[in-house]
Parts: sequence; C-alpha cells; structure tokens
Amino acid sequence: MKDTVIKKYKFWWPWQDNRQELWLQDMARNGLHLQGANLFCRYTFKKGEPQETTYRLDFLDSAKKDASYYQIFIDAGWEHVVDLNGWQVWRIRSANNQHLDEIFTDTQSKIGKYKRMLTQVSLAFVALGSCIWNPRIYELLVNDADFIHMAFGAIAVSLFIVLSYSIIRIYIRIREIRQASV
Amino acid sequence: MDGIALSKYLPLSEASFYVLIALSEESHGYAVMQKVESMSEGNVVIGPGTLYGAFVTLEKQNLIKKVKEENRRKSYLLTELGRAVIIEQTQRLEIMSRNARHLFSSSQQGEAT
Repeated sequence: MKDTVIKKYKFWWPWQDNRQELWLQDMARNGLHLQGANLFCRYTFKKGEPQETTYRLDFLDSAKKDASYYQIFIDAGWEHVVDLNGWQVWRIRSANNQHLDEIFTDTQSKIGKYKRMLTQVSLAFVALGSCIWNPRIYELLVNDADFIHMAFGAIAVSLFIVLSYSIIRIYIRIREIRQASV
Repeated sequence: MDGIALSKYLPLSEASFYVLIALSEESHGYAVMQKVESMSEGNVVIGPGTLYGAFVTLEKQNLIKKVKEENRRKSYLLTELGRAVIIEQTQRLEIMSRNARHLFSSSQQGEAT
C-alpha cells in the first residue's frame, strides 16, 4: 500500500515557534505525521494512525557540523524529522512518557535558542542594510529610476523592514522568557 | 587558584553543577543525563538541548574537556579548573546552608545543628 502524502502550507514567524509546535502536535493527533518541509512553508505529512506526539523546534545552524548534537537527542528518545535552514524539528511519542518532553530545561538554554536566531537575523540585517545605505547603490537607484531598479529597491526596503521587525520581536520573546523565570 | 579568580564561573546553575559532578568520570551525553537525574534524586532533569548547550559552554570555559569521540558520541571529563570551581561552589553552598540551619532547629526540636 502506498503512503498517502498530504501537503499543507503554513507561514510562521521565527518567534512563533511554540505555535508551530502546537500545530504539528494537532496534525499528529489527526493522524498526519510530519515528513518534510521546505523554506516556502510547505509541509508534507504522511497519513497514519492518530498519535499523541510532542514536537519541539530548536534553532542551531551549526548542527550539521556536529553529529554529537543529534546523537544526544536520539539517545534520549527523540526523532529528528527535518533540518529547515537551521531549524531542527524534533519529535517524541508522548505515549511512552518516561521520556522528558522538553528539549530545554532551563531559562539560559531557552534564551540561547532565540539568541542564536537573533544573531542570524542581525547578520542579514547588517548585510542588507549596508547594501541599501551604500551611496553608490542609492545613486544608481535614484538616477536610473526604471521599473527594475525601483522593484529591486522596493523589495530590499521591505525586506529590511521585515528584518528590523523580526529583531524587535525576537528580542521581546527573550525578555518574556527572562521575566517568566524571575 | 583562589576564590576570586573562580568567581567569574559562579554561581553555577543547578544543571551545570550536576553536569560537572557527573563528569568526574568520563561520560557521554545520555549517560550524563541519566546520572544527573539519579544523583539529584529526580530534582534535576536535563533536556538534550540544554545538555548540548552546557557541553559547548563548559568546554569553551575549559571546565570540561573532550576525551573521546566515537559513534557520534563525544565523551567529556572534568578538568582541574572544573574541579576547583566545583569545590569553590560547594564551599559557598555550605556557608549558605549553615546560615539557614538555625531555621531548622528552631522549628524542628531535636534536630542537630
């Protein structure tokens, strides 16, 4: 029998990772088990038996360079589902609940995840920012104000705004976690 | 090394404290998780993400060192510096607990102080 594969699209912001975990858990409860994902927010699910599953997302871009990262999780009973551009999607069946269903157990490491995220977004912010504020590029955009240049300019500026907003939101998330722990 | 030089590592989080003690014998990740849980009588449970981060940080601080890597598992061992930090932390904890002891004896009669 061939497996039924179902595709779904779901957009989420990096600071909404908890909501994304809950969404994946709901899916599993309805018998849809995550199989893969791509950067365009497309998720593929394999249809099967409904199951109580805990999903957890970690953000660690350097994970692929260190196999011991995966092994610690696997030894503790977790299954690695997909690496989505640095996002590590982990799951564990909630049925055999001797295992712990959290991957982070202290404030410092919970914050650590968002700090790694912040570094990544900030790098993109600086890279894009230095492009936009490069006087020569600016001149080019203003002087040769044809459609292509304007379009590129508009995309770059919107992306810059999105990145700034992301930095603020991730920073707020870090502060929330820190305050919750006091 | 004196207490002042060790201060920058202190106070250790409960998790780091137990991870360091667990590494007084060479161990890999999952073994450390199990040891910490049993040593702390179930009070401290360390998730895999937290443990991986602790290994990275403690190794960077030179409190533990990697001694082996096989089957995708890294084994670590406490360093001399790590040992000194644990001793300093324990002495401070003893002072703290000594200062709170009288609360025990005044409320629970017959308790040795």
